[in-house]
Amino acid sequence: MEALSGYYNTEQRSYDLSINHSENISEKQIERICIHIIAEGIQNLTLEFVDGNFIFFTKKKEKIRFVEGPLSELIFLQKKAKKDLDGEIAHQEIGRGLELVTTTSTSSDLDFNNSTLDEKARIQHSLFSSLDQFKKVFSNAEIYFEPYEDPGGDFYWIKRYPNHSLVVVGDCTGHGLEGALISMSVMTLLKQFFKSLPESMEHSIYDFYDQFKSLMEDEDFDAFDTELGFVLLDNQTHKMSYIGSGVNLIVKTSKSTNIHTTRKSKIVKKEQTILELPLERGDQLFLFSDGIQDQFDNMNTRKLGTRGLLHMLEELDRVTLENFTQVYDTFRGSTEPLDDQTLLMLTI
Amino acid sequence: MLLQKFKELTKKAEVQHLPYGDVELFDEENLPVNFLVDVSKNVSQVTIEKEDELILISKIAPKVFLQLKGKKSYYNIGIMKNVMSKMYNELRSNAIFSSK
Repeated sequence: MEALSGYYNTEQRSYDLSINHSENISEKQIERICIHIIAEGIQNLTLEFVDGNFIFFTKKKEKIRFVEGPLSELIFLQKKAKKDLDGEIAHQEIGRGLELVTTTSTSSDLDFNNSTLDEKARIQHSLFSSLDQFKKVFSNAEIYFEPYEDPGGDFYWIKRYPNHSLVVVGDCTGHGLEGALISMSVMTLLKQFFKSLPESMEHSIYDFYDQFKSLMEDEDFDAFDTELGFVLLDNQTHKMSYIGSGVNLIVKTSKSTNIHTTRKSKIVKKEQTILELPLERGDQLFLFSDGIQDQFDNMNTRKLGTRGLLHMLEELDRVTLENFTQVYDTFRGSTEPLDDQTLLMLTI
Repeated sequence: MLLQKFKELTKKAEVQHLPYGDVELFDEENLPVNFLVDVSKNVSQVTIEKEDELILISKIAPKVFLQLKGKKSYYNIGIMKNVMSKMYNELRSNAIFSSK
């Protein structure tokens, strides 16, 4: 697909078009919109067209960057266009984004695109379960996964048993290579520890933490730690059990949306109770690391918090990666994250 | 006549779904932003973000546009798009009912 891309210089009232073909809009119309943006003090403007494409305009200082693409790439290209204005990326990256449009994307590609991972991150990500594994159990599975640095300390994993499935989201201390090393150790231990279906979730988690602690002590990693969230689902009856050590769970049903929190200190004291809930088809589960709730808003003054996240998910009729990303990106604007961010979205 | 009825419906919807915002219906001759005149045939939705305000304009019928305005301190784009889809559905079901 040929698409329009370029920028408008608001002082000189001139264009620089790197790609100048659009089915939807003429150069004259672009100019009128740019003049309107300047006159009305608009920061960002998106036109969505009936043919499934969009044009996004973003203004900063004396430039208005605009880029056209298909709606499936809206968030990706909006981000790229905004960053380009800040001088953080080269223009070719927008071109690369547009090129993605010309290739056929699979649903897995859209769930989480790992084409830009470097080698360190690839090694770590190879231990992650693919979303296809989740989709064998759940009617839908998507993930918002944004490491502070790649590789990061967050991970997600699923183990399927004959009639049950165990889902784990983990958040290891630190981020970058340090966090990744810990998360790889935790994932390896998890795979060994939960080879067969645990008889008691509470006792298995307590034992798991005891083993993890001794492993870290032996490896001089005692300063490092991990927060985990476990969901065990009966694949036939849809009865769910949840226990964790700081990775919290939001359950959205047709009647209500509720948050269930756990604490590491209760696991250490062996006091953490297990939550058991009957679920129905269409109910949604959200396991998330604290990087999500610790995100500051676009003014960099207020944290999202667990209540903010709960409200965000409550407001959306049916949460998808696309509509969550839209809401979440609007909340945070260009404020940088402080930690790895993972939100696993599972639909029964 | 029908537009007047829908304007009343949008006011009710405003109280219910967007209490800290503003909802308005426009026909093609009275579009709220002038550049839309040029591109209204191809456009399905416009999202405008100002420093403290969000505006969502959606084409709900060939020549009818619904505009939502909300303060950023109360709403974000995702919530407004969600409100837009609820209002769109309410208006469409009323339109179907009214035509019977």
